[in-house]
Amino acid sequence: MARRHGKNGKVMMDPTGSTTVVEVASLNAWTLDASSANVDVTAYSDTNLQYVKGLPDYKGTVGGWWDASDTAFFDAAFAQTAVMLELIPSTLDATAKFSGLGYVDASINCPADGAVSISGNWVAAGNWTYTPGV
Amino acid sequence: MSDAAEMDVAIFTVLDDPALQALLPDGVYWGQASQGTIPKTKFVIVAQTHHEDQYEFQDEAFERFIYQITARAKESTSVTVDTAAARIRVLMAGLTTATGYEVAAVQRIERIKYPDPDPSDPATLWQHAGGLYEILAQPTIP
Repeated sequence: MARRHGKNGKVMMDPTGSTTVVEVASLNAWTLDASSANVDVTAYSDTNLQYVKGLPDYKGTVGGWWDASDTAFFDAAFAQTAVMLELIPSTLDATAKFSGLGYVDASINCPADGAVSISGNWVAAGNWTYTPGV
Repeated sequence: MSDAAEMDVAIFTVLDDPALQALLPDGVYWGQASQGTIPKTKFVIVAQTHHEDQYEFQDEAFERFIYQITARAKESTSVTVDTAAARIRVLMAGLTTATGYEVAAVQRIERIKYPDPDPSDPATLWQHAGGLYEILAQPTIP
């Protein structure tokens, strides 16, 4: 496995929350933050703060260009149910992915001097997994 | 893959206009107008000042071009170049197609106007008027 450029990233989604995911068109960015909710357990006489590790709080963002012919992103955002997300860093390592159920929020930006773009946040709605490429 | 040079062609096509030719009969040129044996005194200069590619995953989403298009005339007043610059703006608004692209927007983003002394005869002025034009286009040839 090699280091990769993000140009071959991909976001797959199944709006029903099942596993029949399809690519969401015209996206150009995604992020995933798995920071843990660590708990401060510092006691008297400790010389620095100390923590015990909590659960990872899977959440992130997606972004891209608005495409009138692809309604999946906003359908997912307006739905009250969780969608299945697969976040792929590079299709050159197609089996490497982060996946799980998520709730998606969406926003759209329509500037007078540029292209219409979309962005959104997602949070985990189930257990997430990381599948390494090798 | 879409060829950005086709956008240059599209611009020259829309600027091929009888009303503009009547104002600036020496033609439309890319970058500079070679003076040749018969000096040119009224013409249009087109130059690309900026270009950037904007991407989506797996593909190119948009290309953003900025062209400087100016009317130039060797005369003491700016009447001719002002009229020509206004005509150029109208013509550029009509740029809706370019081979290999879906044109999403064409708009002037900056006005240009200034006089410039002739290098060989400082008492004679060149008048410049026009603008920077931004074109946002979606490539249609993968």
